[in-house]
Amino acid sequence: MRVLIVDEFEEQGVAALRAAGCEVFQLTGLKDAALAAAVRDCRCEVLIVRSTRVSAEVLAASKHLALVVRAGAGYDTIDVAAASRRSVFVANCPGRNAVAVAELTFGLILALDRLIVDGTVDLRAGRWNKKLYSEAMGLKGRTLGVIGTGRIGRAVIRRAQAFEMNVLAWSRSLDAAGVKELCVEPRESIEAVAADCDILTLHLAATDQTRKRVGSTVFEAMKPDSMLINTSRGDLLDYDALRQAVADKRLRVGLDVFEREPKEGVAAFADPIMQTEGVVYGTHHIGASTRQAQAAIAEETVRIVCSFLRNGTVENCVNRRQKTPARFMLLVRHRNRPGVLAHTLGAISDAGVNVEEMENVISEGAEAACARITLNARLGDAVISRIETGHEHVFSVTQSPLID
Amino acid sequence: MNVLIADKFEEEGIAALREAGCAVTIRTGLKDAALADAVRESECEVLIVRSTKVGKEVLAASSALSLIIRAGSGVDTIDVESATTRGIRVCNCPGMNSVAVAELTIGLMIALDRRIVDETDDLRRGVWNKKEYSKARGLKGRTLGIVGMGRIGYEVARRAAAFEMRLIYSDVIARPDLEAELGIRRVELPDLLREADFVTLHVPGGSDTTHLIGAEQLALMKPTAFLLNCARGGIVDEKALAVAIGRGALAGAALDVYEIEPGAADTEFKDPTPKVPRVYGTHHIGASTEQAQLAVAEEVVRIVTAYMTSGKYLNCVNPPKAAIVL
Ligand SMILES: NC(=O)c1ccc[n+]([C@@H]2O[C@H](COP(=O)([O-])OP(=O)(O)OC[C@H]3O[C@@H](n4cnc5c(N)ncnc54)[C@H](O)[C@@H]3O)[C@@H](O)[C@H]2O)c1
Repeated sequence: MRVLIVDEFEEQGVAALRAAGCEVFQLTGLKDAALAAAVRDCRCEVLIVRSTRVSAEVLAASKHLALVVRAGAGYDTIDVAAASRRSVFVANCPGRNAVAVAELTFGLILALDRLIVDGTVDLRAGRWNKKLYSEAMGLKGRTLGVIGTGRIGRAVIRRAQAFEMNVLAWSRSLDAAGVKELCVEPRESIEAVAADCDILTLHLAATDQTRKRVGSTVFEAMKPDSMLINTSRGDLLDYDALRQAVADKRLRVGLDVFEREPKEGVAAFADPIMQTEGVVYGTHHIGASTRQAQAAIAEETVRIVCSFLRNGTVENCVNRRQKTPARFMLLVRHRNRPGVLAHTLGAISDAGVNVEEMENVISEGAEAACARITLNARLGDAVISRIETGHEHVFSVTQSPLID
Repeated sequence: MNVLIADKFEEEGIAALREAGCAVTIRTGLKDAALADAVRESECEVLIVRSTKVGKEVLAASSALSLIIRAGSGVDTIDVESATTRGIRVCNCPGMNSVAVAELTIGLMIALDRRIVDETDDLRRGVWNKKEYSKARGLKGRTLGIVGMGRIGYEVARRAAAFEMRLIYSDVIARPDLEAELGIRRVELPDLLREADFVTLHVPGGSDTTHLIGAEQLALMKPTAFLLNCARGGIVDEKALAVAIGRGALAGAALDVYEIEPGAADTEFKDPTPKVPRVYGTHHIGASTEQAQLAVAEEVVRIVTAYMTSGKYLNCVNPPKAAIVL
């Protein structure tokens, strides 16, 4: 199988793909037409991308292209609809950066508690102020409020427990089983968590419902001098209200994401939140950017490609239709010989019925098999009987409606 | 029982002592003769101090004085020898700040890896540089080398384990108990320096450990590795450290303690090491968290209560001879 990688990718990942028998091509810095040409020229079946955009043009460039893997979580850089129209699978690597984000979250929490940034800046300027910097609260015995208990939230919770913190949590999907598994105290809303914690950390997905969800109602609920960490998405926070809260409540704030975030790697930065009087620490949206995370993503990418190579299945596929138009299912048990499937499909085709999905499962010993075929319409009794009796190797045929 | 507290002390601790039936007098900011007067006037049996020095004069001030409690671990501010001659017992609260130091250590580790100081500094100056700051290595799967596997070393190890780090340590004493508990491995110091991605020091200060980490040791470290010193100034040869970082022999360092360290009340800092790029520093605040102060206060209350109810001296650094059971 031919694999084209068009962004930076871990060496080990490339080596693993080659070891699995892939022919790997690496070309970086390509865009649009140039990328389309590269996809066509190297006749790759698999395209691996990180930040490079994959447009409809690229997807249509070569009939060989069957799978696009996004070495990362978000896939809004890929024209998934165009991919689906050509039955090109798109897969991603969700959750592989959870550890990196959780580490940064703790780094920001500890840096804010011990004022590591200001402490260093003062020492560099020759100023010693042990008294000022001796007023940390410490983490042990404090309460951490976690909003969102997905992969990152969970990684944060595990670490908080090693610091002997109490953990409160709210998450849309947090149920009794989750509460028990995570050993957290649930609260019924973000505000309710905010009211009872010393440190509030956000790990929600950015959706229309969560846009600016964390604003004045949350800040009003928070204790004075408590801490807020946002390493998820700039969209979640009402930054104007936050600036007010930093002034009114002396909130300490750690941010990896901002309202006005430059798109470029190097740029001027003008978000006023970092100019706010008070303790606000920030990083450059690098939550997911560690070598460890890149290695984990490369590993997952290799797993996806290898499983596609070995058995044609696409792991973490984002454009497989969850609900097909299939309404009926046909099970054909048969002797494992040539001609049975052609006979069956011929009969279905003659009846003007469309096959949606199919699978043929061989029994132990390879003597017999069962074909599972889903259909968009019901086959008449005559067709069923033709399939069942019209071929010496068919044992039985059953048709049943699909219930959703 | 009369108790005199001569330094700042947690409210919770004072309340607990009163609850236990002590008559508590609080007189802070006193020195020598003034403190001796206070000891005499209060007729205290127990004197609680934090940074206030306790010399001969204070010890001789009153025959009622029988127990001095240092709300902290070091007792070098107390004339223990004179206390012993007078039959005054000195007790301390060791290990109560281990968690605070361990938290700072992990904080500095992540701050170095993610360059949180430089990043914040840049953003405050209006500079966005995601490209430059996307090169961190992360903690998971990296090797942490702990030099000195005592109380603080242990707390660091427990937290680092939750970050899924590989742990190795070097210590003059083997700790098979901790090896079993944490899956940690003991190695010789040079091997630790060669293998570790982060080296953190938690050995006592003093002549045995002066310049334990010098040019020769720094040369063994990986160019990508970081060094942390939250133990005592002088354990690291800072001149050699600055040179080694400048040469790229290691990636950077974080310090809470310095070879040239100002007193608590000084405002000028003369140690040049934090001026070296990739060196982060804090103001000898390893032990300074509310949590640690509370833990110390709790321990002081425990010592007073034990003495009051059973005449026992907990954590006594100069126990009465008769109490030594052979
Ligand atoms: N930054 C701060 O504010 C702060 C606060 C508290 C303590 N400390 C310092 O932290 C250090 C550790 O404190 P602790 O409470 O864990 O002490 P501890 O006595 O519990 O542990 C020290 C460990 O070091 C080992 N050791 C001694 N000499 C050694 C050597 N030459 N090589 C290797 N190992 C050696 C001992 O066997 C012991 O296991 C001390 O230097 C202490 O002064 C700093």
